[in-house]
Amino acid sequence: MDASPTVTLRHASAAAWGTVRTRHAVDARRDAPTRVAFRRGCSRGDLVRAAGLGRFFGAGDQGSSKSHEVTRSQPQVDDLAPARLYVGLPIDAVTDGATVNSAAAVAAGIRAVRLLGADGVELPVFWSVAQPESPDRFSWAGYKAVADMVRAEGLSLRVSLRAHGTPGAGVPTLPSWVTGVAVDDPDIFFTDRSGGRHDGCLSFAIDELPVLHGKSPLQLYEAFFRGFANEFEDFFDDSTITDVTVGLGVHGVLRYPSYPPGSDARKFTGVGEFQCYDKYMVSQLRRHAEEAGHAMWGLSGPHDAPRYHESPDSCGFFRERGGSWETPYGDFFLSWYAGQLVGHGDRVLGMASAVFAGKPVELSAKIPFMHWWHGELSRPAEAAAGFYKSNKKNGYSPVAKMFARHGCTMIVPGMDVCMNKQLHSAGSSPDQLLAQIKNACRRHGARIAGENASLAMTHSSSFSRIRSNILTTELMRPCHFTYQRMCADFFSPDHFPQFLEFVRSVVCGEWDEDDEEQRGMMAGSNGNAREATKAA
Amino acid sequence: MSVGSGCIPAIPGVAPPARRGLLGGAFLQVSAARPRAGRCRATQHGRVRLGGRVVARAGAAETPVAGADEDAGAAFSEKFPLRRCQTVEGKAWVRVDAEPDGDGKCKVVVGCDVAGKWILHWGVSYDGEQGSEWDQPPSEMRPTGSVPIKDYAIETPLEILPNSEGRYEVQIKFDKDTPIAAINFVLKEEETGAWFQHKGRDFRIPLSGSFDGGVPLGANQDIGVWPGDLGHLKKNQGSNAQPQETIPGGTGLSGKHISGFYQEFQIIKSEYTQNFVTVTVKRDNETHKRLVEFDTDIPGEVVIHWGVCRDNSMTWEIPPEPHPPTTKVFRQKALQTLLQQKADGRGNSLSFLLDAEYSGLFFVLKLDEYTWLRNLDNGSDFFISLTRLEQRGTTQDLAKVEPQKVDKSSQAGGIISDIRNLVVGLSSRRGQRAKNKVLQEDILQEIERLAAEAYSIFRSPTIDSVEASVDLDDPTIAKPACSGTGSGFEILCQGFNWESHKSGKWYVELGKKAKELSSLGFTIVWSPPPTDSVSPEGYMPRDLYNLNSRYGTMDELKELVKIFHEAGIKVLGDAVLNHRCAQFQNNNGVWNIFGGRMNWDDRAVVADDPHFQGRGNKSSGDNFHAAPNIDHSQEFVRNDLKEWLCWMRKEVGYDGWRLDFVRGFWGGYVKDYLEASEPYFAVGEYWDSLSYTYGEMDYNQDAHRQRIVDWINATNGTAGAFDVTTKGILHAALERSEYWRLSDEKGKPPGVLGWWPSRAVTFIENHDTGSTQGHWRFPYGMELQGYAYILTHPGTPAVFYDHIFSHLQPEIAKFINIRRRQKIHCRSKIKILKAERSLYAAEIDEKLIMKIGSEHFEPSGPQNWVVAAEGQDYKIWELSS
Repeated sequence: MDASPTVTLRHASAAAWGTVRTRHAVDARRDAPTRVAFRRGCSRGDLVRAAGLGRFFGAGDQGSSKSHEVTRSQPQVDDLAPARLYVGLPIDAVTDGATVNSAAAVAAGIRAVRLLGADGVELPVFWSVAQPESPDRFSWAGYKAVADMVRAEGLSLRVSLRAHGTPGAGVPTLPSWVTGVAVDDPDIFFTDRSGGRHDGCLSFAIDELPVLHGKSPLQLYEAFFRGFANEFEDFFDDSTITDVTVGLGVHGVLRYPSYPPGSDARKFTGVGEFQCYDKYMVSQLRRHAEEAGHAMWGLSGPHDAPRYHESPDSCGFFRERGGSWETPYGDFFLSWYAGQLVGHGDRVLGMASAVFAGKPVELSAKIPFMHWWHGELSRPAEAAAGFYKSNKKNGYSPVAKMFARHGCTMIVPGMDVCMNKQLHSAGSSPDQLLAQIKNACRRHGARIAGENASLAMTHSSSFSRIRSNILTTELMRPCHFTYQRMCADFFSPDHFPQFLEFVRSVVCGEWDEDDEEQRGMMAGSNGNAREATKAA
Repeated sequence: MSVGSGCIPAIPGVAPPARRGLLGGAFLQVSAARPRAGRCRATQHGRVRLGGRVVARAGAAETPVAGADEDAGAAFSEKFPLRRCQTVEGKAWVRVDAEPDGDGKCKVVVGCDVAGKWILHWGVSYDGEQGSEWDQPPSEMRPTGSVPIKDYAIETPLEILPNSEGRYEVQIKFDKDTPIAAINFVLKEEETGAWFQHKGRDFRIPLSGSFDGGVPLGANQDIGVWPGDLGHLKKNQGSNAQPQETIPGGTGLSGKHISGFYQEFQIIKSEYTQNFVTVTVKRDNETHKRLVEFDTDIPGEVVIHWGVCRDNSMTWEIPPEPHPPTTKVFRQKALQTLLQQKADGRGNSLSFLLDAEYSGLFFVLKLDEYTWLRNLDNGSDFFISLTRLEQRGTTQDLAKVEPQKVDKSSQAGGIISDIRNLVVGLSSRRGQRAKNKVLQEDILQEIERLAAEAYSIFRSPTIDSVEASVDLDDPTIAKPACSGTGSGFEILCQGFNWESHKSGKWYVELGKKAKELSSLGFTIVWSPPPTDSVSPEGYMPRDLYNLNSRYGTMDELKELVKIFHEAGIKVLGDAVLNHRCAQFQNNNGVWNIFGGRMNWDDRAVVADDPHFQGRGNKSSGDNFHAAPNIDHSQEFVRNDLKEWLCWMRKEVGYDGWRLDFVRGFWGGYVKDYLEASEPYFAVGEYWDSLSYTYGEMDYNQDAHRQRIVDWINATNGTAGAFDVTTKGILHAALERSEYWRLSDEKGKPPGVLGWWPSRAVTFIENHDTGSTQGHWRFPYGMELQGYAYILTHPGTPAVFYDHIFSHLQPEIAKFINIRRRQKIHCRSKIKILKAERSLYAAEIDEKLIMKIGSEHFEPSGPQNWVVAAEGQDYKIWELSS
């Protein structure tokens, strides 16, 4: 591990900062159990960063280094390193590789972020934009221009490398030369029971099959990641890029596209359907069933699973009592189905951490925040998306374990989701879900980070929800939070003032006298709470 | 003779001592120019000042600093102007020679020995007059060279006495038995403009002094009274100072007795002298410390009172020892270091090393106990950001950094980083809450402004329909002439202004200009609204068929049209279709019954006009509130209007229309009217406000131009529209030097011009925006830049009458000439080459290049571009053939 340059840099900045926080971060990284060198909570060498969230915690952090030593042997999951605040750049900031859309607005947004005192911005980088026409040619100019803006403002940059585009981003979900293959072989895409295909969403089963112009998707992803790593080397070197988020599936989220093909995943809150009916998935299922000695189980997916919008109780599979999911077959199928998801994540993250090894970045990946139907015992929506563990155990556990193995931070994109009546009727339980995810990560030693599911336009309580999720949580506090994302609505008079207030309240706690007092109290209570935890 | 003496402090030249801490210095005026609402938005140029940065850059830019070239990458230098108050001490004296000289005259002598251009500003008081009123002395008393000031004073220059080593004097002679009771004066030094008074009052020399024998009132003065050689006369300062008390005193004026006396006053003359202090910071390669060098041209002892801060915390602290030699610690709060005299004796300098951990350095110059020199720019402490070494880094060399012009745009980046640094710094300080609040506000404003900017760009409306129109505008496809475009090569002249109705003979007067307008290259003239009107300007029409107006009679109008036609110019009539004033009241006393040939009643008035009780349908557009809005949805109204327009075409000979206030009704009706009246050219006035968010004009005016384009679309392209968007953006771009506004996100012109050039009638001024109304006047003095833009660009340019017949005419004629020579037309292709802070450049049809803005620009490429026109901040090149 080529870590020494990073450490040197850190010390240099520590001199400039002279704060406990930075030293703390250095200590933390020395025995970080990660394969990718990472840095946290600090700024680029000479630039004094404005108060980040870390600053808010900075005061309370004094003297906690010692107590931290005690728990050092444990994984870094309860690290009280300050959370960093990022703001997502427009999803369509770059759509044709060479130009920045609404560049003036992006620049203004970045500058506003800096003035707000946030740590950085998040930039989605799409495969279909970077390599639009052929496997031989990349076009990075647009992304570079954005990265330059970020660097010029002295902000940190979190890049989300997305192999799959997002509807609404104004880019194809996959490069056209990849999609073209589907004409002859439509089974490279996820397929549901009735044969509906998710155009532009490559099946996990072909990860290592050379079906795309003689190459496997994994090889192409690697070329994409490596191309990025090489092209942006100097942004890694000067630590402009602090985080690389690896997109593990459609929308950059590790999940099956269990929503209806062509619909908007973000708006779908049904149970969904299993996506295991492309020929590659089916053949893997068959093989797996044969190996398990139940060849009959591998002929197809569950016959009694509900349709996309049906209630879990309408059919046999997910029925609360006596549903197929509890039977050996159900467990067999769900375990295999979830295992495929983890296997895919494992392959891509393993490749990514190899590509970015030695770069001073933190690796992260996003999981879905499927809080609907969470109240059902069978967790049908999550199971359809691929999150399942036998014997009603924590379905996020296998994923968290895999994340931890790669030193990958788990991004939970639902820090703003509040409980409300409407969701409750669909068995939603965001609180429980968050706790469950945190438990899984805590057990396996994966860090978590946060995002919001949507702009907090409708509920101002969303902001207080975010605040409490990222600030006052004691265990498994997110190591960074990214507010998603800049767009017209984000800057609209309906939203921006509220956002401004939010950031002020979390970032610049010491701006107001009142806050100053509050901070003191908060720091005190934090300390006490920590003592209590230790005693326990 | 008694001799008095007093101290005259003339100008207090002492600044209050420097406070510790920078918060005073962190004074911050944040721009956030918030123009007022309304169309005419005065823009205040916001300027942010922080510490000495602004002035420093200016100063450094003017004067390259020696030493900076040694290691350009690792050093920077700031030069601050200083204003130092230099005092010269001397004396002034007043002498009264009571003994008559050879001519029988007594004399008063006023003199002083301080160099300067001294003026005696004086007057007299007569016997028996109370108070301090002055009168002018009789002419025989006035020395040569005297100048009367108003009717009560005289100014007489003091003249330097030969062989006197700089003594100035003036003599005033008077008769011994003069009725004048006293001479009053003050001394004035012309170069500094300083007045020297005596204890805040005029000097007063009593000529009718009291008899000797009184107790010298001067006894209680701090300065002694000296008996002179005319010992029998007594004079003292007190009686000088408060003559009103002494002269009419109890001793009485039993006889005229001139007292001779001599009195001296101390004079302190203060001068401001311009000095500089230059601070150079270099990186010391051996020690990795920073070498800070002070250099000033102030002679004498100069002490710097200084401190440092870390992390931009703006908290003064003292660096650890060793301190530079001759350093004292001042109350454990600051260091005071005596600068060393330079070898050539012209000033002082000193350099010392500072640890690299410090991010900033504060200082004040101290000359003596009472004289502190601070940052002139903001009156607070000087601040040098040491981190600039890193920020500017080794890659940029000084030459590139320094010549930045001091204007707000170039500072923006720096300012933000400064603000940012301050936030960090200040927020860590307690006890500065109030200041912080101000700062916060400023930062919040800046954030708001940025958000507004971003919002306006992101909130881009759909423009699909428009892009389709642009495609239709493809110049490669031959377009038949239509009333939306004319021939495509039209150049419009607005043939009147807001005052044109005053003569009553405008048609005749305008007719005389027809030849000239033709020779200038205009193809269309827009004549004023011709109908009978409630308002003299014609925009409140009443009887549409009565064409006798304040501009002239109908016959004169016909004659005018004929003259223009002979000159080869088409004539547009100004048709006001949106509203019409009624001739009669209805039963309720509301004016909504029309007369004349179009004798409509209240059914022709829109129902939603609150003032006129219309019985028609609801308005299809905005309401004009001063007159009944016509309901164009009624067929009889439309038929009548069509008939009227056709009548005007036939009877008057108009070639087309300028349509007033078309916001007021649906564009589809306009299409109807135009199809019926078949004009050669038509243009509508669709004027509404541009988009502003949080008080700033948005960069993205797509919504605004979309509304205009929508209207043109509704007319089916049968009419063009005035490109109000372009005018508005030109305002902002020119006024604030924000030329980047002149390119939209797609690299096209940001007005209607960019979307549908063939229907855009570009203009910079009209009778409403300019003239004597000035509702939205084009930035003063920048009209030629505006014309250089619209007359080289696609679209159909319109030139305002006031501009044609003004000093601008030669240049405008030149522009029109270029346009015609290069055959630029309304669909010409434009390629924007530059749209930056102070430069906009564009290439039109690959045969013409123009630039506006202060920045230098030269066309590049293999072609041979020759300058066709050039002036203040504009330049036009054409391809040499």
